[in-house]
Amino acid sequence: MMSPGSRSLELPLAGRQPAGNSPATPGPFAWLVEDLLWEQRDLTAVERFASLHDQGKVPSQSRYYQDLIPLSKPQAGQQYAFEVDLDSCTGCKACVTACHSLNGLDDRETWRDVGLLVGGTMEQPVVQHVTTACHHCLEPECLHGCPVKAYEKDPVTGIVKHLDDQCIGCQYCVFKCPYDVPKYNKRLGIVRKCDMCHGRLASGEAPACVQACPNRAIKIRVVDKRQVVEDCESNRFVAGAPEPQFTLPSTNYVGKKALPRNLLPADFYQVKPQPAHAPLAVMLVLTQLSVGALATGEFLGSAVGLAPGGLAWLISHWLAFAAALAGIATSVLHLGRPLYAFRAFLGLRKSWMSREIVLFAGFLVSLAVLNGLLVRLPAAEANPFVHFLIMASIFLGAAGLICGIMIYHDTPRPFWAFPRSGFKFLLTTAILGPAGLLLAQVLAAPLMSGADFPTYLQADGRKLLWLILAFTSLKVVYEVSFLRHRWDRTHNPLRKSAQLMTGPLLKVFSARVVFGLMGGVALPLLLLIDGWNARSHGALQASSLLFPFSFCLLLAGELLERLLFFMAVTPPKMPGLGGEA
Amino acid sequence: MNSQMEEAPVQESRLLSLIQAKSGPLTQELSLTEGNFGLGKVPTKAQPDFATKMVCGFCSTGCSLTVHMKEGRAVGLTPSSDYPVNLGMACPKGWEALRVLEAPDRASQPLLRRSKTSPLLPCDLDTAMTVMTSRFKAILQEHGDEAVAFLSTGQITSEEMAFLGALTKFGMGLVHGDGNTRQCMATSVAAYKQSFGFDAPPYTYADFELSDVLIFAGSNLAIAHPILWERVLRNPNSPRTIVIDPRKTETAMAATDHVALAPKSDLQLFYSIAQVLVRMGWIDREFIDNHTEGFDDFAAFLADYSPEQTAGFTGIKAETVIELAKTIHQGKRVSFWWTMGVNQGHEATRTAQAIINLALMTGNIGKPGTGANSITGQCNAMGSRLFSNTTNLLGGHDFLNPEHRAKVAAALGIEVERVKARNSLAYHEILDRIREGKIKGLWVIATNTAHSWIDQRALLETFSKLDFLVVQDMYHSTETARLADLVLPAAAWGEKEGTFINSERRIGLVKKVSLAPGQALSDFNLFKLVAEYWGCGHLFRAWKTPEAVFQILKETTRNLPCDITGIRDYQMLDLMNGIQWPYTQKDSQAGPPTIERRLFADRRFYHVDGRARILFEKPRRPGEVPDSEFPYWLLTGRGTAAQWHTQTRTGKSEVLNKLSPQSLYVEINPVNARELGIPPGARVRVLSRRGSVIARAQLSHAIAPGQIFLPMHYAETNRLTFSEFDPYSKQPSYKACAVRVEPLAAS
Repeated sequence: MMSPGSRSLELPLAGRQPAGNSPATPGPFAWLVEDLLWEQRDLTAVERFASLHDQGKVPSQSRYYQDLIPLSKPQAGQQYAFEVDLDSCTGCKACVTACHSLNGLDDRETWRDVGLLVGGTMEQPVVQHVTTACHHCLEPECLHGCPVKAYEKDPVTGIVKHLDDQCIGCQYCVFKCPYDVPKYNKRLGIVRKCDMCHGRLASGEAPACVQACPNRAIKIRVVDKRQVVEDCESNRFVAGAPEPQFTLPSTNYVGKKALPRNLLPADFYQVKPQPAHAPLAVMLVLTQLSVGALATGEFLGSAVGLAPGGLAWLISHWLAFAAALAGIATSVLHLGRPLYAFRAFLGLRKSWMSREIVLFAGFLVSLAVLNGLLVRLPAAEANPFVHFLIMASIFLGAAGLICGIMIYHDTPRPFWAFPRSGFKFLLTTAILGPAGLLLAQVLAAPLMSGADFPTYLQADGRKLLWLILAFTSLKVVYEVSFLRHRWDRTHNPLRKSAQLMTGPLLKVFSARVVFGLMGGVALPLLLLIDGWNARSHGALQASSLLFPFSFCLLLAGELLERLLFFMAVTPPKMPGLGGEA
Repeated sequence: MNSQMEEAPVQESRLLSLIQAKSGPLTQELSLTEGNFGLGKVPTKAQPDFATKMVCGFCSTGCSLTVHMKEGRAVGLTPSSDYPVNLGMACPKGWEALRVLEAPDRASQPLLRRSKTSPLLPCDLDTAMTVMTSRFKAILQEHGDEAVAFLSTGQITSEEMAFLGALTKFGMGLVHGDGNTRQCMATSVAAYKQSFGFDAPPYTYADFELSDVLIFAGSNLAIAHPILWERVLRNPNSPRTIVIDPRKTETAMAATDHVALAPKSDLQLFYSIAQVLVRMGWIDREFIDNHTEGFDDFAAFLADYSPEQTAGFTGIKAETVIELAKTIHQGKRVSFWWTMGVNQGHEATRTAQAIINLALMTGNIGKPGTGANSITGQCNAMGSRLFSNTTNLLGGHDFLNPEHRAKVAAALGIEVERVKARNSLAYHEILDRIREGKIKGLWVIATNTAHSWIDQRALLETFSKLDFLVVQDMYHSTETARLADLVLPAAAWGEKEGTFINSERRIGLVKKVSLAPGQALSDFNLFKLVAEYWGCGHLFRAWKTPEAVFQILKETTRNLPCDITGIRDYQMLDLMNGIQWPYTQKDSQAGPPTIERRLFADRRFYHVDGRARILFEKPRRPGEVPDSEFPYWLLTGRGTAAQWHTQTRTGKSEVLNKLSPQSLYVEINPVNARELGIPPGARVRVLSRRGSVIARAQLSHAIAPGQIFLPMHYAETNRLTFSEFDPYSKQPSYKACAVRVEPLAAS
């Protein structure tokens, strides 16, 4: 404990130990220490002061907010809406903390945010704070996207309410909302959001934020929905905010000051990697592998020497089932409340998420039955019902895959728009399908007499190698070419994504490219060249080991691409703060 | 009862609710309940059974917070609706005031460093006290009574400050001790004392609502004192609000006028305004003649400060100054307000007095909606001014005045010899003595010098010269506590009783509503312990409780401008929603105090002749100005309303952390950024002659070209600042120094 040579403590009291972790002989005033510690623990002193009176039903704060909330309920064609007076908002953020406290939110949870806009000219600089919460949209995309109907738009008040007990924690609403409103709560495994304090409004109290704004900048007003639609048509909401047509937000930002054109959110130039959503990435890639292997086997099988009923054929179906099962099982980890995932059929009418889940569930069942029959039935390949199941599986899987594309397309995130998501998802299917078949051949070879994998690769397998090579090249070139957006003239979401991939996510991106090129281009090419060279078959001889390695690289590359798909996206949001908030 | 009646589930079958659950345990998590006590709805999990009001412990606004108690503990709070200060509102810090008490790095036991090279390790209070008193005694014995000093705070209660001041100076026999109020309010104290004859901010918050012209100098009220800005917005007279600040602050943005003067040119600007007022005859001659002293000399002095002459220096056109003077002249009730932009300057006292002069010349004092008004910083800076026993002898007295010494000794019941006729060194002089090796022992209470003091590198070097450093704080993690040889764990606001005095001189009550962690004791009781271990406990037998001390303090104020002998006790403070000083025994016989009271309604100032002094001095350049090597002015100040000073507390609330950038950023004008090749959001290095920091560039026209702005809440900022002090107030000049900005390679 005591380092030699250092200054040690000289203590005057005889017999006292220098500082230590345990008390030695108590000092002369140890009794006082005990007394004072006891006194410190006593909280009764406050009781000598009178408690505030119960002042009846009307809260004492109501005198400040009476005129900030509507007197009457909305009529037909109307709803409640926030009105924010930008001239009065000075950015004190009391609204955020009041909402947090009065609604009893978790430690880091906030339903309201205050952002900052800066701009103007040297002579007339402008600093404008913007307070924002849920906009209780006319077309709430959170609600439309929810697979389990955990959202309701109140028919009278228009308040978009989240039903916490219905939520399964899929967080699709987080992807859907352009304003970053639904907040995922890890502890509870659900999303929660602003409900305009509807319980307070119902009994004549103002929402927490309205009660707490020292400058009376936030009000609740009854608005005509037609007016909201008209206002949104103009494509203006508040500077720096996402375009309003997507969801028709009802909040009305007002102010007398004319704001300059060049107002930008203080965090406009910040780019931040988003959550990787690994279970989703795994699910997408594995289900695409599954669908790809099935479809390639069914439609190209005869061209690549895949004999129906043969061991490789059987293994390819087992592989498809295993991949689908693993992928879908992993995706459950994404859910905050997986036990309630069965509710996912509820949103079929509007939610692509719901459709994907239902289709993939069907896909999995169909594959399970199919593989069961393949194991049990002799000469199953000739059974028409088996064939039907194969076609059904392909159909369900492909449909699920397309719903998957639509899930992402149907968000206000251009990085996920149909051409981009579709291209990636379909090419993953096209790359991993042939690769899956080749893998089935590798696995089948030791068990089959008279056939070995190198021989197969020299013959029909070449076609599959060519497919892998072509599709992987195409996909990697496409993904690399995306980086051109880094030089876009405007600082748009795609440019931010490109910045992320060349900045904070550069390592992931590089690994993705290297894995793709190694597993999908270099190694297949090596095997192909080796096949041409009749004298030395070095690589081909090792191909039973080399190809599985190549497959792993490919799979890893696709997984990394899919992680980037989530991490490099730039979600729209309301203006934020500067610095690294 | 759950109030969300409309959500009550209609008889749904179990199966149905499994598929479509409209309520359940997760919904209950957020259910609201009638809070009673006039609180409206509150979260069900925090429904109070008792509600009591107390004053907030962050800033000097002195808002009242209604603390919701359940089974004897605070479970929540809301701003008090009927308190005359905050009228039902609070800033984010206030809303989160209880949260920051729960931090894991609360000091819960004493920590002792057994040698300079060993780590801080836990020990018990008995050991801590024994070591502390023996070490300090040994130093005093060897090096004399000036060799141990203390640095106090504006964050503890008046009763605690008084205890600390009396214990150290009358009990332990120390000579030197100062407070962190030196960093925020010393200028106002010096200015008021010299001008009015007593340190007396004359206003009441109602004045914000009664003026028709409000002038804010170096005050970002909307961010630093959001609740006072609320009062401005409640002004029904559609007042002109004029903000004088180099930067387009949030307040400047919200004001009707912004005068963006060059940094450190405020004194010249105020003189030029005065010059116009005199030249145009826009002055209150009657008031000047009857109630002030020194005006004629001032008028003559002003000859050199016409707006035309000062324009080159201030950057403000003569027309603007004349317009400004005209606005003051035409205003019926003009109030002048200042904060740190004025106080933290190299000629701050004269600048504050230049503002006071404007109010005096135009008769804008002592009437509703007027005044030369300093807005204080910390929750109890005003208490410190009266009761810390540092610059002033207890109660607002003078150490060098024998009558005062006798009076205070009598009020405390101690021998008059214990009250030494010696003034303390100021903060920076104490640090100088440490550097010189003359002060060897230091006791730091509830302040974070290692973060907040100017020119940080020099400060850290200075602290390393100490033989024994005791830091008493509620967190063991502050930059200063980490340097300590002994850390004493202190209970925080909300865990103890006492009083604070706010900017408008309102004495408010702090109550004990929450448990302190582990062995943490109130500062009051820590002082009591030190007294006993030191061997001077007998002097403080009457200092049993904070309320007992309050009675003693009352007595020390008798017949002073701050006389509070009319306040009966804590109960009265509680019932009356705080009471402004003065409230004398005689006043109390006339009846309860009125809610809002201002000083000088009788036009009598506290100098013996009853006249205010008009004081002035030739402006001079600051010690460091931009040059070719360091071409930019560095301005510092409050970043957001969610951050407080060195963030020892606000940094503990996850919500407050979300409301402010988590790492240092620098505001820089886009024109300069272009010249320097700094893209928006890029990382840059800011260098001064004393150090460098790395920050993210925030491009904004709100900061003028040639200037940059760094918020003060990040520890790095003070690596750059320049040690210079106002000669009268000895307050550091944080607001300007010369720096250079360099882009960093892409991060």
